[in-house]
Amino acid sequence: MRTTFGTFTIATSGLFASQRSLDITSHNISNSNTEGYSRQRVIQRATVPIGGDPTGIIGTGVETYDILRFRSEYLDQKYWGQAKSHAEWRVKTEGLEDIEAIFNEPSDTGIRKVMDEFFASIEELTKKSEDITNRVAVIEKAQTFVASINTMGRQLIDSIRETNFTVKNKVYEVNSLAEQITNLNKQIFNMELGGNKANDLRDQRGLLVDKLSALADISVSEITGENNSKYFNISLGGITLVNHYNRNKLTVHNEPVPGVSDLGAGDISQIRWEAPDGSTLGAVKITGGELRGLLDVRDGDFDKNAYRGLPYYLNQLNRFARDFAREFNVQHKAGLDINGNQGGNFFDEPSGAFAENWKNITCINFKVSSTLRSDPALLAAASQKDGISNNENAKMLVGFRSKKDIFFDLSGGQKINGTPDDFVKSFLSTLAVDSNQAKRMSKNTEAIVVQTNIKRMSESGVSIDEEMSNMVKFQHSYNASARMVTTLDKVLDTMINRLGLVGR
Amino acid sequence: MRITNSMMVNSMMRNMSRNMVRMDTIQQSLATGKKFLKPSDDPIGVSRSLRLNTDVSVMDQFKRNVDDAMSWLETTEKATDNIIEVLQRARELTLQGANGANTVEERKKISDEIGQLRNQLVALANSSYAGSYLFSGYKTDKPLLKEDGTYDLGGLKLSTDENINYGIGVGENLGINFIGQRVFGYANDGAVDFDKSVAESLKGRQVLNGAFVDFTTPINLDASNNQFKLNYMGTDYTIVLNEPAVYDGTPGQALSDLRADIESKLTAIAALNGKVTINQEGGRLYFTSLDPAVADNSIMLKNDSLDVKLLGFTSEKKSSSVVNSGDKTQLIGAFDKLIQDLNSDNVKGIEQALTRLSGHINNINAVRAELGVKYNRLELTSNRITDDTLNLKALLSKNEDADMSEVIMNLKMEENVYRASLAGGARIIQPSLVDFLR
Repeated sequence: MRTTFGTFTIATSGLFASQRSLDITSHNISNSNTEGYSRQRVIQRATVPIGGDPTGIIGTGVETYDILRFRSEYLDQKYWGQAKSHAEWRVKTEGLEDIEAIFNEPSDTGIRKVMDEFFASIEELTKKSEDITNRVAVIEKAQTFVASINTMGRQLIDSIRETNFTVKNKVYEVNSLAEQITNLNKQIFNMELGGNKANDLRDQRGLLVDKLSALADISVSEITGENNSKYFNISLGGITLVNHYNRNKLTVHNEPVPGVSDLGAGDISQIRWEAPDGSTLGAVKITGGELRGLLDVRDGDFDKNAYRGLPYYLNQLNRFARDFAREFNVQHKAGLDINGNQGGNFFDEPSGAFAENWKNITCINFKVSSTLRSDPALLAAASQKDGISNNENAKMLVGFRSKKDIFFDLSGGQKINGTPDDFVKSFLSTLAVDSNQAKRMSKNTEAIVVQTNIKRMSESGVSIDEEMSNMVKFQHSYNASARMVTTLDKVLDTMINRLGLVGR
Repeated sequence: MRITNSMMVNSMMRNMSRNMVRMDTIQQSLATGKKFLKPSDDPIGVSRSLRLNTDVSVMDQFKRNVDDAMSWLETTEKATDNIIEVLQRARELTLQGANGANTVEERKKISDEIGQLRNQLVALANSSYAGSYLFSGYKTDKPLLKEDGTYDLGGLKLSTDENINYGIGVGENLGINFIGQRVFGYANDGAVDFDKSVAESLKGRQVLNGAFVDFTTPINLDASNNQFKLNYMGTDYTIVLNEPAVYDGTPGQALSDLRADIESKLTAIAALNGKVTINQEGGRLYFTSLDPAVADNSIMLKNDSLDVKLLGFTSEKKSSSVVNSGDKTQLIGAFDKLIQDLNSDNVKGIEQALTRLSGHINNINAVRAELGVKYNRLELTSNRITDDTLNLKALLSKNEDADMSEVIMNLKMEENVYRASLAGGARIIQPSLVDFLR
């Protein structure tokens, strides 16, 4: 049996549904440029029909029952997995480019050039070894040579200190992101108790996880509990960072690192877990992300840390200064100065931790001997007494450049093969290849991340054209429903006011 | 695939920024003229560039060394030319003086001029280049000769191994100086005769041939004097000769027999076998090194139970002809003797002086020949260095210099791409359905 006003209800349900859809369309358009926003769509269905009518089952209108968020969890997981390697290589590229800038090759100020000039001045000395101007020139060129090694060393140290500072900041950033995510977890959980999705809050949380996934290698999971409630968890290096409402904190533990801190880089911050009482727990295992890149650049000594970062090049420079000074001193001491006395040290050999003084030379304290600087006559160019033009030791010093057994391994034990030029060239080539590889990896991983992000945007992004056509669609359906109401109004007018007037 | 507006904007931005990065790289190589600026731009190219730059700078230094060496040799050549002129004039005068018909006054005049020439020689011996005495070995601050014709050297010694070496190539050295005694000779015992042994000493022959024995007197060996010590590479080896034996020059007792005896003893010592041998030349035995790395003059003789002088060996010192300050100069000595003979009218002495002068002229001509050879070698080296430098610079340029036309072309291409993407972007981004809804 048909009710008189039933059609009104059907028409109004159409009006409401169109209006709801227009609301969401408007929401989409407004957020079309919001970072991390996923487009939404109203899901509507026909209401429960009425049976019992001889005509058939009669429809009763439309209802909206959900707002769908277009988002692929699979693509999110993929993105979070990939973002870390891109971030890691991007940071490494930047770090290695810094080191390249410090060594500044090829240029007219790099080690090669100052070494060329140093040896050229000794060669000039061999031609007139008694000439005081030639002697002063050798000492001045040696000073330039030493100063550029010192400057490079200090820049590497500064770079380590700056990287360490960035590591600390990034650790605080992880903590802050984790806190925001925990807060959002609470809100989302409470809102979703009713069974609906907290779409916009989920978008916000996704965006925070995007950021976190670039910082470190996290794994994200959302567990469905009883009553279909969702629990959102993030773990870092196998240990929980965010667990629904709760989180664990990271902290930094400052400790001196031998070979780095004692050269002026200060204490190095190690990343640790923090206990609820504020005490420091074990180390955090970080295998990817910006933090991994920063740690590799900061700690990479190719020994305890398998990467070649700042400490590796600092060590190379230390070894270069140390062994160069040692062997050069040996040769210099074999000669005689202008007064026929045995030569002293050309480069200072300071006392320090090692009993053998030469082992205490670093790229920072590498210096031309001050006694030699004050009296160039002490430069030992000769090989025997009697004769100020004896240049034999100076010739040996020139020959030093092509000497192949100067350098020791890091500990100063085993000799390795190569001239001073080979040594410099070898670590610069290593740097070049590493930096080149980092650049390439950065580019490749970027392409992958961009590809995944494009897919994500393809799924979730707002298309203005689409929203416009939806708007028109919903507008028309609204208009039609409204016209339906008008029509019904007229029908009822006819029925109530005009019907049955025949007998009056 | 579903494409949204912001995706299109993003990808356009990304592509354009990539385009900008490429343009920036090209701009940089346009501005610097180099293919690469950082090692990572081209690891191999940079490493090669480092080596080539060093090679070029080393070559530049060799070139400067060669130029300096040439000036030094030119000065030396001038000095020896002057010495030859002096000697030739002295020879003419001597010829005149040897003529018995000369009056006392004429010979006095000749003797005066010879005296002047002698002083000129002393001055020439002290020639210098840029404040350094040419013939004084390492003692370039000390004059070679005193006024009286003896060696000066500020009281020091002058040894024939005082070679000032200039580096003129990788591992290639050239001694640029000539040692005083090579030119002026020395006469330890005051002998001024230019005989064969002295000529050899002038050429530095003693240096070349090491320790030697002069067979002058009959040598009697018995148990008291049958051994001596030979120092080779810092180790003493005792050589015990057969005894009793007399070497007086008769068959079976000649110098060659002594040589054979010493040789058999040398070969019997394992460390010396094939390293040291003994050669005979005229009335002299030489110890000679067979190892090219060991100089003859490093072989030293030491006496032990016998005075080596009894054997005729030079006594306990390196046989290099070290000149001490105060030693007489053979050349100046010859002049002094000549002046003496002229003054005392010793015609026979004057005639002998002719032979001596010829000997010295020959010796100095030999020095000049060697100078010429060295100069020639320097000229060749200089040319080679110029060629090498050119080649290296060409390689360097090929390695690191950007091809400008290619760079400009690439820049234009990138510019076109950039323009096109800007234009395309403007067209694609602008319209959306909003523009067509009224």
